[in-house]
Amino acid sequence: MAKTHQYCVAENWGKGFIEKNDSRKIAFSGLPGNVWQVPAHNKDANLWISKVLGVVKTRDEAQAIVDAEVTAAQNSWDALSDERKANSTRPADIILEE
Amino acid sequence: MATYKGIQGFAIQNLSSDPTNFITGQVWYNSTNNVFKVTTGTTQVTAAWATGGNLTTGRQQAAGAGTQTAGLMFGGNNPSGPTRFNATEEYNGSSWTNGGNLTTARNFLAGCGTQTAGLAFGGDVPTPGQSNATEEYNGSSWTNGGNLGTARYAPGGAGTQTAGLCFGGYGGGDQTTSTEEYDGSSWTGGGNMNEARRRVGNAGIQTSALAIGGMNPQVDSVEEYNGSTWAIATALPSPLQMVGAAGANNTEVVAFGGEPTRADAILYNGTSWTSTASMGTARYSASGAGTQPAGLAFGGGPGTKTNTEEFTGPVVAINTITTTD
Repeated sequence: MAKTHQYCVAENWGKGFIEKNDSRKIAFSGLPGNVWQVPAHNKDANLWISKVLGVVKTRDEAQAIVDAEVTAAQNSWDALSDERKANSTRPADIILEE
Repeated sequence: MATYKGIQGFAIQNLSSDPTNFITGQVWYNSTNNVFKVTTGTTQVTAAWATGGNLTTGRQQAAGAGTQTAGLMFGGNNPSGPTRFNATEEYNGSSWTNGGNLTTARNFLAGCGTQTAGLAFGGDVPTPGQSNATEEYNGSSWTNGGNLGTARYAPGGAGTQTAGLCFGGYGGGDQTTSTEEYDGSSWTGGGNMNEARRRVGNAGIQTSALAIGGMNPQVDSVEEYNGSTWAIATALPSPLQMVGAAGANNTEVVAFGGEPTRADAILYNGTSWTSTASMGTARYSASGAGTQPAGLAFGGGPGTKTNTEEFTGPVVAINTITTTD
């Protein structure tokens, strides 16, 4: 099956990290651990990864980073009192697509 | 002979400038340029989100106020802390800087107003659980205002520091329909909502507010306030709670995110909801400020996000009507 997404790790420095024209051309998905999902085989996405000095990851590598972040967040949530749990939501598992 | 009003159901408006919110096929007279204009509903420039400066203190369940270039964030929560925040931050269109702290640290509060005249009210506090506290911001510090009649957390908020609106939330042991109006010093009762709810999305002003979704349990209903009564409006495409929103009134609104950790955004034009560009970072319990088409989303969960995103709404093509002899 052909890949539809690619992944990179890049720190979101704020203003200018994703610009309006980037967002009009590329479907972004920001994930825990500074993992970014963008379309595969896409020139605009490749240029954006270069612009933000993103470190390209395979899907499995990206999944491991996301899993570690989500597990840590779930453990923190599980340790909360019932009162605090009632006012927040347990972080859900995230499954990355190829 | 058929008339425009007879066909469309409304008359041609005489406007000094082109409207920013219109119905496909609407015709109006631009009195500044002395021409008739029409929109076919064709999108000329698509909507987009861009990253803004990151918050100093990441958090969710905070309140927002102000505009895309002069935003305000206050209060909030780190659910895994557990820590309720009193921190205030001010946005200048590119970065956030610290402002004066709230007197009462709280999360799931509501807010409205501007960066130099903000209003914070209600919220979740350790004891007794729901706050009735109101605080007014002057651009550097918070001072106490009149207390809400009904202490509550997770209400909706809209308006200004001298014409504020608080609606819904959890108070008195259950979700409430209660609405209160602020005049700069005290709260008085307004018209009750049709459906009780908390964690409700909010936009607009005291006389033109929008309540979006919420929890009781998760609902898809939307209500419009006109300054005295709430009317049921077009429902959301699906039930949604902890959704962020931006809008100067109840007919030009962008709603974004929501549980469970959504990135998508939708536009409301007073009649219907349509999909628009998605945020880069999915989140719920984000704060909102600004308008549609110049909105701001910041913070949110899960966890304590520092992300800010700036929304630019779609630009719809406007054509000048010309006649030939």
